[in-house]
Amino acid sequence: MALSKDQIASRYGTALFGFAQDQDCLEQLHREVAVLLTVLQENPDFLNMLSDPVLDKDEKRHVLDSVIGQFSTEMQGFLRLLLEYKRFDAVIDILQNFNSHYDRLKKIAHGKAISAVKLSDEQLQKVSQAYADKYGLQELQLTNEVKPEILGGLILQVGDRRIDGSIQTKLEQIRTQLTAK
Amino acid sequence: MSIKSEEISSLIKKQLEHYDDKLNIDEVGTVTYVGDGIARAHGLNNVLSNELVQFANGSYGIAQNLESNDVGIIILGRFDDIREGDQVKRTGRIMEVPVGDALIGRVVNPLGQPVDGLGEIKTDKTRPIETQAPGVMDRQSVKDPLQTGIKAIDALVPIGRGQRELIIGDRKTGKTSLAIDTIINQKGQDVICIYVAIGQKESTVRRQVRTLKRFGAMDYTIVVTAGPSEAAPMLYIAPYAGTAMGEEFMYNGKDVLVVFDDLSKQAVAYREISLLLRRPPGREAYPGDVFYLHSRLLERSAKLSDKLGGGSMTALPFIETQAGDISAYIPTNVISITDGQIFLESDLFFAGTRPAIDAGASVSRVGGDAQIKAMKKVAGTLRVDLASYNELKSFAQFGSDLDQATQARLNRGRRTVEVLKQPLHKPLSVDKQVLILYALTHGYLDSIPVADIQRYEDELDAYFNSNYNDLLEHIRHTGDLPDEKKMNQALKDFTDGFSTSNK
Repeated sequence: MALSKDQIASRYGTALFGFAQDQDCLEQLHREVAVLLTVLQENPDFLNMLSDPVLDKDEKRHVLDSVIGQFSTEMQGFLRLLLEYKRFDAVIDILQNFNSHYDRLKKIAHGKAISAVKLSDEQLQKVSQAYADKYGLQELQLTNEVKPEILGGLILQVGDRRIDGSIQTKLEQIRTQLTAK
Repeated sequence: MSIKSEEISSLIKKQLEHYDDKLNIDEVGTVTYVGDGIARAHGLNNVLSNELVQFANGSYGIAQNLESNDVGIIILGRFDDIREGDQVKRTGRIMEVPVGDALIGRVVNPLGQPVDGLGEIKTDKTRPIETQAPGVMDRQSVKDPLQTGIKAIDALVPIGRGQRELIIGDRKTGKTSLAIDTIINQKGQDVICIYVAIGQKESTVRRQVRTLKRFGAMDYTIVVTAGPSEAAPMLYIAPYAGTAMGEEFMYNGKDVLVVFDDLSKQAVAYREISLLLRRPPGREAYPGDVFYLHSRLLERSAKLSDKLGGGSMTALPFIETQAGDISAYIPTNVISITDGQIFLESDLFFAGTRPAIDAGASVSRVGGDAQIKAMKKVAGTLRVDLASYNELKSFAQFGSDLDQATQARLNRGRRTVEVLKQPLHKPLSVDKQVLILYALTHGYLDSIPVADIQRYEDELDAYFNSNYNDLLEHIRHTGDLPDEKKMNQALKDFTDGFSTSNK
């Protein structure tokens, strides 16, 4: 049975993470992964080309080598390995899996703060600090999303946890309470 | 009449005072697939198996499959407005249904919501639909009879309170009628009945409810129905919901009769769910735990120990066979779980033997202890009589020169079959049953033509009612036969006076 993308991501991601820890270059790799992720997401054609099964392997290897010169040798080796094993189509999932391992180790979480009006950086900082203190995290990295239809308040979504303090939800609750017998 | 606006605002104000302004902290996941009554969701990492989850449209679901990347959920209720990308949140509860006295006389769906248009059900008691069955020390052996009012059952395959007796047969062999008659006969017996219709046509359910009403049986009956147009999850949970409603009464010391009509449709619904949830199919494409599906359900029917109040729940599960094949997967499973089976045969049904009970293949493993003494005495030889009759019947068709003993046995057999016939919705009380069977086994019917037996029975009832009520009373109260001399004398008097119809 073919491996699912999740399974591939988990195996390669765990391997890369373990390798980085063994080689003592975790921080370095983490920075490189972040760069790589933005580059790959901005250039989907590049990714498509490298994961295309029709193109010649050596040619793809040449293209890859010409791009990754500035990365560390560890990262270069890893990317070549992915190409060799024809797993380049899963590279984004793999890197994200690596990131989740990293976050777990460093007690970092990523989340979304949904508000009706745009929040200032200072406000975001306060919210994430409060959340991080409450749930024992080192750091919470929040992105702000503006949704006028929630009217007011704040919805905080971190992983599976959703803290809903929006006016819209409160009105909805009042509605159900008033209409319930 | 006018409503003042101040009154309304003060009312709303009062309601708002109780409004609990708390932050909602939910654990949510995202729907990645929805269809056919099931959904898969990404996230929900801490959800527990069988936990209730709520979708964005308000529908509830039960978490079934917990996999590494997603959760398989069966949806209870509307799923046509759940979309991919919707949020689904944990509730931290497990599925419960309303229970209690308020449900009696009502027709509800498997979620306990009324479907009979008689208004809301006012009860604040609920019970989880899945609970652990009572253990070894919580039980006692079955000892009280559950009179079905059907001669063939009460005499040959007696059912005790707390027993699980399978009713099995092809389609259109009178399975449902058997159950309805049994429910009708519980009138005044202090037994709460629960009729769970799984995948039965809505029109059929409607007709059964009307029949129950006509005989006053809805006064102590709850009907749980999951029609064929409902999604498979509703059919799957229906028997568990019915059992939960019964447990409330059982644990309060009452006697309950629960009828599952029928479990083969529930197994099919479960197969559908399991295949959609991508569980590996096994024999006949049923999942591996289809045995557990029925065993954990039927195990919850029990006779509780006196310490727990001595309540009982009798289960009559139905299985529909295809062309009489009782060796298919689901029938063999349920046969091995139950304490016996009543086998209904279509050949008998079409030959006019109704109820079409195959006495040879039907057994009751524990009910014998629950039979009253009088019935034990008169019904003791019945099974053997029928067996030898069936054996001789085919043989006798070839030759006419039969010796006296064989003739007598054939005669007795023909009359036994005739006596065990019973018209629809006419359950018979146990004393009357004992009376006619006594007459049969003591040879009073041997001289009566077979065609006259039905009339003989009716007239015998009337005769004893007016002249020998004390004898019937004796059977009812002591459970034993009255003085045989008196009995014989009364029967002799009646039989002598009975005029056979001219041919």
